[in-house]
Amino acid sequence: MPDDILKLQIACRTEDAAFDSALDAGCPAAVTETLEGRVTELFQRLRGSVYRYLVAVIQDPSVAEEITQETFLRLYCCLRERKTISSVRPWVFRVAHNLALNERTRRRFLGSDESTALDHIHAPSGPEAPDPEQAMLLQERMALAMQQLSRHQRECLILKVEGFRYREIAEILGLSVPNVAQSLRRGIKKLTRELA
Amino acid sequence: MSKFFHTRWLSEDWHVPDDDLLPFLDGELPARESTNVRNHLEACWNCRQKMERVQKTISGFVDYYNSAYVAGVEPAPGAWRTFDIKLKSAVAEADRQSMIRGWLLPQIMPVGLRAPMRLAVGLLAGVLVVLGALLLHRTPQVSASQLIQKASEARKLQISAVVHPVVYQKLRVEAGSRPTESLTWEIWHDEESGRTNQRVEDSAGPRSISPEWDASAERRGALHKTRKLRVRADSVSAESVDPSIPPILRELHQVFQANHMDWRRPLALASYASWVRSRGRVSEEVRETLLPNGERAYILIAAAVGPFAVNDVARTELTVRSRDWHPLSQRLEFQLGNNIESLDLAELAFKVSSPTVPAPAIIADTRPLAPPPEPPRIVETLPAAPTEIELLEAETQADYALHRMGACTGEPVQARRALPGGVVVEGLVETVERKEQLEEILRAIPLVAVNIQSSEDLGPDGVEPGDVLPEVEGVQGPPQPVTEAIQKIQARRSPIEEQLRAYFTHLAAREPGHSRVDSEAPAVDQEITALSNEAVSLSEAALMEAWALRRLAEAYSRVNTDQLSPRGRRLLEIMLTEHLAALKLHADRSRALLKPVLSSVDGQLRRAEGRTHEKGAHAFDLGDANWNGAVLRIWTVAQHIEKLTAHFFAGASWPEANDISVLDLLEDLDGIDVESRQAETKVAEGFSGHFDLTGSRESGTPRISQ
Repeated sequence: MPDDILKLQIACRTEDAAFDSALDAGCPAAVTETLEGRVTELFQRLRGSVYRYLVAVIQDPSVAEEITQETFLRLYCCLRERKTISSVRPWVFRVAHNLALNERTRRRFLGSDESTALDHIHAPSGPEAPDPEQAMLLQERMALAMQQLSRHQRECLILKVEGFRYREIAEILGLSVPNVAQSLRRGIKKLTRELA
Repeated sequence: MSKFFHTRWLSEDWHVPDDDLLPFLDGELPARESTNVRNHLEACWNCRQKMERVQKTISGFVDYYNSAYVAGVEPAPGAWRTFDIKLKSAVAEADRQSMIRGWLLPQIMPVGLRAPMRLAVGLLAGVLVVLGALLLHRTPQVSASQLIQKASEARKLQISAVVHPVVYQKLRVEAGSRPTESLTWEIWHDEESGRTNQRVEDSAGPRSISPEWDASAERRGALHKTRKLRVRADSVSAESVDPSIPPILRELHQVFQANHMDWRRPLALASYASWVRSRGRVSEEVRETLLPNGERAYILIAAAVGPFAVNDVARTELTVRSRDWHPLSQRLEFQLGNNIESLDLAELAFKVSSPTVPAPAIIADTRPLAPPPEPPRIVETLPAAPTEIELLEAETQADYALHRMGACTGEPVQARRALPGGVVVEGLVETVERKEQLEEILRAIPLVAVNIQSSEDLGPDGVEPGDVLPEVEGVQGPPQPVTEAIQKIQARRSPIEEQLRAYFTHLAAREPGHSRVDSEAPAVDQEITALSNEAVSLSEAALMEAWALRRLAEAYSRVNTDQLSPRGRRLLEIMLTEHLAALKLHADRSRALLKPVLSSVDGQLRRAEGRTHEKGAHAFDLGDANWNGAVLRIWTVAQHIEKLTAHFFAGASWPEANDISVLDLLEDLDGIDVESRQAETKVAEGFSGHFDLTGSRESGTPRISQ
């Protein structure tokens, strides 16, 4: 799977003696070229999911794009400084999440409204649903129900749907695993109640 | 999970708690609990219904997320276009930081130290001494394989820098059990032809070793290896023993041959690697140490797993200097009878030179080599002459240091080759402080001598700050600042002053709430002055960057970039790309500033003269093959822009003023943009191959738009 490939790539990097020795020997041309290429590859693979998560969290596509790019620049710096990253995908999401939190704090400080309107999102439709009207109604109710969730519940649900394990979600959001389990359970319970 | 789970799940009225349903569905319950829940769900309709409700909600949420965020979210507004540029900047910045951290910062710091700081530093130094002793025992950051690789590459680089290289090594060889039998062993090895010559000096005096003996020793080694016989040198039949060969040397040769090591390259890491491969199982450890002269070094300790035949190396210690990854000594512990014997090799001299150099001419003799009447003397005390690569490296580092210190765009200081074998940085700066600042940085670079004068050194008749610095012999000064020229020509009128006045008057008239008042004229004059000043200062700044680029192009015109070390190539690339980026910035600002004004002026002139739109005289040939040519063209265009700007905005004279128009300036401003992008592409092609500051890739030959 992609995440396994990414882990493997990073593992290869750390075990690549030529790469490390070139870095030590201070001949950055070949090294940076390789590292740049690898970060660009990671960026292309992961940017979609990171961007989606950020749009869902901060509700601003421009800022989400900026933060996504900044996240991967930090990944480059981190790898350049030869810091160990055990698992890339959770690391990238954690950094993106932290940058989004900083942005949220900055906006709050500046007094800008934190819009919860999903103007940037196309009106959802369910092509597979037998009745498009009913599907649209369901989606609208789900969107409203999502707004009833707490921030942690929403973030946990989004990360879960992005395919993370509880332990990884806990790592990304800086929570404990039981906290994540509880947020997910309450989130689902609340959604079930709202949609009933 | 459920706190009642473990005690109650067997009872008949037990149901799966709500808390456990979601973790169960997510596969997050421990295996045993998960099995119990699964078993219960198979039997319990109530719990299955609850689970289906949860699944339905999950399914609804996933549908919502997929349609709203996966399919429904708009693409990124910037379409990720800026990421490549940002990444390039991050790479350049990281390179710069590593350079500053590596050597620039330590050189700058002492200048800023004051008395209280010195006290603090003294205390800190005390602590560091204690920590240093502890740190010596810590695990180093380099692994055995990295050490081998670095040392092998360093040797390869050193050898490849010389045409037809001959490696000379002088070693002290001692046997652990017989210290009195120590000898000095010299070996010349022609890396291309494979010819080798040896000489030893022990208590019996110096003597050459016959090349025939080498061959026979190799044959014996091969024979012993084939028959799985490992015998001591002294057990070889008497007729094959050359009495002139010291026993230690014979023993050493046999050990090398028995362990697949190349005796012609003693201490080489390739030999060590060959032994490791032949043994299969070897435990390796790297330790840090300090050499007697205070330099850092690594000791690679390797131990093989027995059993050992005669002459098999059981353990070895190889000391490698960390500064240049050069191996300095080796201890070989090998099986001899029932005991472990040791041989210590310590390098006394090492030199790679060409046979054209007289010193190792011994290698050029035909075999067999007769003992020379006067043995060639390798002067150990003299340092080896720097190679071309080392000189280039030093020159590039000096250029880069000047670049970082901002001395490349405004001061007549430059690095150049000096005889014998070195680089000298010469030039003239305004103040003693500036001179000391540059000297401090430059002196840290090996092979670089500094000969910078300050105007204060020139005595009372020296140059005043702000004056144009006089030229130092052989050092090319920057172009005379345009502002100097402007001061002299300010009294003259700009040839387009009337048109500029009309433009700004028209502009003021279009402003909302404008009413014509008598005080309008001074305001328009101010606008014209501000525009002229900015235009001239931007063209001057662009000219300075172009001048720095030209200097690099000329300095490195004789050098193929492949000749530069990777580090040198990277430094040159950084300098070029930074100058190009700065030049583009100035040119862009000039264009943005002047384009609307000059278009209006041109329209007015055409209407007044009754002519139609004409193309300017300049056509840009963009077909040069390398970056040097592209950079030199930029210099030509930047000069033209500076002169035209001075003419149109500061009234500077122009030899044939009727032949030029403001359109020429406009086209030059467009042209320098194209030229700089072209130069970026050429630099990218000539260096790392994909560096492009603009983020766009030009293909073919772009033409100037009309």
